[in-house]
Amino acid sequence: MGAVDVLSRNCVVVDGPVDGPVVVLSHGFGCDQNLWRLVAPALAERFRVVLFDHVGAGRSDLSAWREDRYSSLEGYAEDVLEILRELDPGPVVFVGHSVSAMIGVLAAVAEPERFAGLVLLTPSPRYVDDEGYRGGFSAEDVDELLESLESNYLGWSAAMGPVIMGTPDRPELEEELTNSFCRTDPKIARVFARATFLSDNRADLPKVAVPTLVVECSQDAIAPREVGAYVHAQIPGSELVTLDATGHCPQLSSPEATTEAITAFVAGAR
Amino acid sequence: MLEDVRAETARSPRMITEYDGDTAVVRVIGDLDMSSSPALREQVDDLLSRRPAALVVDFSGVRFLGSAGIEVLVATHHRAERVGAALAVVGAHRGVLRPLRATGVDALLSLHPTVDSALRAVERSTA
Amino acid sequence: MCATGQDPDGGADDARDDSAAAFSALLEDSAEDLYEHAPCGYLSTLLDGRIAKINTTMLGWLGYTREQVVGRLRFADLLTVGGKIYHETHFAPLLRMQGELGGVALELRTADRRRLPVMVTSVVKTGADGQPLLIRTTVFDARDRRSYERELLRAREEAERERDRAQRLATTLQRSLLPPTLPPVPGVEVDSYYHIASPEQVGGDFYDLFPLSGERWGLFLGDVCGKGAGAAAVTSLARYTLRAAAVYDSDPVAVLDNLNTVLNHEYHLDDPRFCTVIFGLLTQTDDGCTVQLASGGHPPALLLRADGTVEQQHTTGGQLVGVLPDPRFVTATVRLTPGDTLLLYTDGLTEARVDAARNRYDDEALLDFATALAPTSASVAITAVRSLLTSFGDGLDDDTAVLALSVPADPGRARR
Repeated sequence: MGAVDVLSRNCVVVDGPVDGPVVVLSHGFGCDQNLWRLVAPALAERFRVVLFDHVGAGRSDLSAWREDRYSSLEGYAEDVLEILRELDPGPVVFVGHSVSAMIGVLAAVAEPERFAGLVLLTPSPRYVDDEGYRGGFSAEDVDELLESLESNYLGWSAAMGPVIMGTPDRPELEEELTNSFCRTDPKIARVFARATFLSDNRADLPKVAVPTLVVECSQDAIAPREVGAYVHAQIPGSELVTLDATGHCPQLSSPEATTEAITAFVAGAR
Repeated sequence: MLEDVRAETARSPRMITEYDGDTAVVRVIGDLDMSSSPALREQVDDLLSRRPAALVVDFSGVRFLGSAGIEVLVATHHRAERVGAALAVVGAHRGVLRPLRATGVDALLSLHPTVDSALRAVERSTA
Repeated sequence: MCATGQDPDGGADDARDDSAAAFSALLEDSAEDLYEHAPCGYLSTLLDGRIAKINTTMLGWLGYTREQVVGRLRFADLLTVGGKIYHETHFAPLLRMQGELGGVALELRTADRRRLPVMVTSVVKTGADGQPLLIRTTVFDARDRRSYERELLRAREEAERERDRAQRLATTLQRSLLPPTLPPVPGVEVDSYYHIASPEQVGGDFYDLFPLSGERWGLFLGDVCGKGAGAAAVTSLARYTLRAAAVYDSDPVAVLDNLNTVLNHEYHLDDPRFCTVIFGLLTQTDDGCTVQLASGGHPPALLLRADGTVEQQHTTGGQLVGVLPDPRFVTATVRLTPGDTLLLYTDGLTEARVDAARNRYDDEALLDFATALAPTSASVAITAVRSLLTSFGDGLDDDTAVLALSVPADPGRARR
């Protein structure tokens, strides 16, 4: 793929000072790059911020989606590397939220020279419980999630109506946003949910050889604190920050604290 | 605008049916291709099921006659024979004659340059 | 509505009095009572999800006491685990960003572990300064609706499976109607292409090339009128009849006569089936080959000469195969010497629409196309036709088959 192809495939958006340290923000399962809207502007004051949508999410090129490539996290990690190869910005700090944390781990293990550091925001290397490991979910829970996704497709398009992103002055965007934001083709969502919740990247953690910050929330139903502690223990030399925040998306519930944690880490990674 | 009208005409052929005594005359205007031919088939099947003495299919308003349209003509020929209705086809221009000649279907049909001559022909055969 | 005001014996006043009484009774109905016993569940949560207020209706559905819930549980705790993940990854982020969210299907987990399907709508209440204060949520019992939706989903899945099955069947059938690869003919380059217009429908185009005896080969290309299973059956019948007939008597007209007899015999007046076919008998010569062609209603083959000229083979006037008891077929003989290419095609190509006014890519356009191409070779010509067909896009709604033969300009370079 050429530069234009990769960058438009993933709807890559770059903002902030050209000579600033490069920070890549990678969204997780569920929504798209809009999830960073409360932290991206503040980060872009000091850093060169790269936003993108994973293929299948947001305004990515849906025609580029292929089940064989995107049924495992490796396919997404390969996309991240392709984006970095095209932009070629030098070593970046990669901020991966939720499942994107493990996508970042995979990419950084494959080509560590492209990474100045990793910020793993509410990460989990494995969601399903295993012998001697508590991820917080059973295999049946994951099936239940798939069912939840399925039962929401019927009302999905109409329910996600309200205009978002504050673009009342550009009504022509309304429909586009309504239809793309956090809305995914049912089949793509199913495959991504499976790739996310059935993944097991525990063995990849010790291979991470770049400075790493683990950010967890004090109350997170998806990635509980013991999982955060596990990730911290498994990645050599990593730091752990626990935000006094609730939920799985601190960049929305505690944007200032999240920005602060990322900023401090990027400054230190330089 | 003109293109729009022509495209619209082509999408669904217009069919106007009139009776001349016991003879049904169906005038077809538009293109007869894969997408539009089934409508003609339905129309002539319907007309033939009412057992007219004769059927005249007027193609002088047909710009394009594809294989699907020819298929309808052949089927109509067989059906008319079976129900004992005389069949005549009107069409003397290239868009209709050429495909009919290319497939040899011209030899199968009673072909006429005008509706009048077609009507005279079916009158003779039903008399 | 209730009082008519038309009663002549003074009853109207009574009625009005009754109505007023009913109204004031309604007004006595406290907002508190309406909240608690509304026909839907209400709850208010803090921004971290902790439940601050919940109505009696909702508690009744869940089977919890107020003390078990308020200040102790979060909204997500009331959901099934799958619903909780969905809430954390979709619902909560969207609500944060949009300020409201409606019509989301979730399932509650009741105190006695039952699952209760609900539809949830939430709104973020903000203070005067625009800062979010709390989340108000309305919950509707959706058991009936959900079973109806499940039926819809089941029906959709079934339909999707059916469609996949039909598509696979059509593709398999289509493939079985075409030769997997054409056999090599010494001293002649052969290439072919089949364009499938619709994956759901089996088209009726067909072609083949096969050895007869010694230096002779049979080849044909045709088009059965119509589409679908009926046309596919005729295609299959035509293909094996042509092969068998050519072995019996390889004279091209005799081969077509034979097919005509079979089609007339198999398909009677109730369901006439017919096709256009061009059949060729290829005989190898010292410097190439000759091809004796016979056509039954088929578009004329094109001969692209080594000197760059193009000749339409005059087989026009041959009649459709399967329509008449004794049809006329028209023949032509072509001699191919080094650098010559013979191109056979079905009318999907010349009937393609090329513009919004639905003008067709006709014989003349194809002739121009071939002239620009000549001199060429079988494989180059097929590649060119393929990209031509691709360029038609939606304008091409019929299947198209193309078969090309050429004698290499340098005889040592024959491929296939």
